[in-house]
Amino acid sequence: MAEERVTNFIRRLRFENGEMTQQALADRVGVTRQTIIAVEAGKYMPSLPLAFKLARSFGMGVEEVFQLEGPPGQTPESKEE
Amino acid sequence: MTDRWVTKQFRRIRIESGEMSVLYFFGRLNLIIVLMVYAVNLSEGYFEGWHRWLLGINLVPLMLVTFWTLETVKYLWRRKKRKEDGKPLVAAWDERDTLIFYKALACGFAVAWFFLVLGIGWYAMYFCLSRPELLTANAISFIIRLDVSVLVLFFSLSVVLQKHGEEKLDG
Repeated sequence: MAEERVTNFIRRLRFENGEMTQQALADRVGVTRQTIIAVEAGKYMPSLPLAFKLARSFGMGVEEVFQLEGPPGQTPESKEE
Repeated sequence: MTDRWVTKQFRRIRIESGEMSVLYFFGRLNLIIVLMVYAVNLSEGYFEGWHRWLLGINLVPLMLVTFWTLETVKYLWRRKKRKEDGKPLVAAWDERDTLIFYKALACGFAVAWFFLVLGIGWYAMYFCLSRPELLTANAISFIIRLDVSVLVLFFSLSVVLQKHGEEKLDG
């Protein structure tokens, strides 16, 4: 069974927000640039407060920035059906 | 949805500030100091005339405290200067660093504990069985000092390896 994975659109959002640098985003949310690098690459899953801060820094909700990817039949939508 | 187009576009964006995080900096610093002290100890014969205390494992805490103090003063001075110049303060430690710190500490303690048990066992077997009169507090103290250096070595190695992998992601 494939593992569930959290993906994010931070890289794209940075680009769409005036080519914001990783350092600028890190300064906004109060973390180091290395953490932004790790989150973007999917190597580190941020805590909930950090996820909220990241989403808010782009003026969006958490679910618009982060998404849970899993095997078919495991998503909440498919369970409802 | 990190498609190739976005990745390609991002390559041209200049990354500001190449400053090392505090944890990575101290991890590397500790590793250099500990390895240097081990090298000096192993080549002790070439340094005759030096005071033995300096060549001993006592050099580890001495150098660590000296460098940590200097770096902390430097960090505080730079932070003060940034504030005076009105520049934004850069985060030096965050939740990911805490995670790496605890992981590295667990690794360091595991190896250090193993060496402690091994060291005491070896001393007990070697001295207690054959030459019981030589088992001194000095010997136990040496094992503990050596064990602290092993703890610092493996803690730092773990930090550097974890952080190095992260730096590689940067491209």
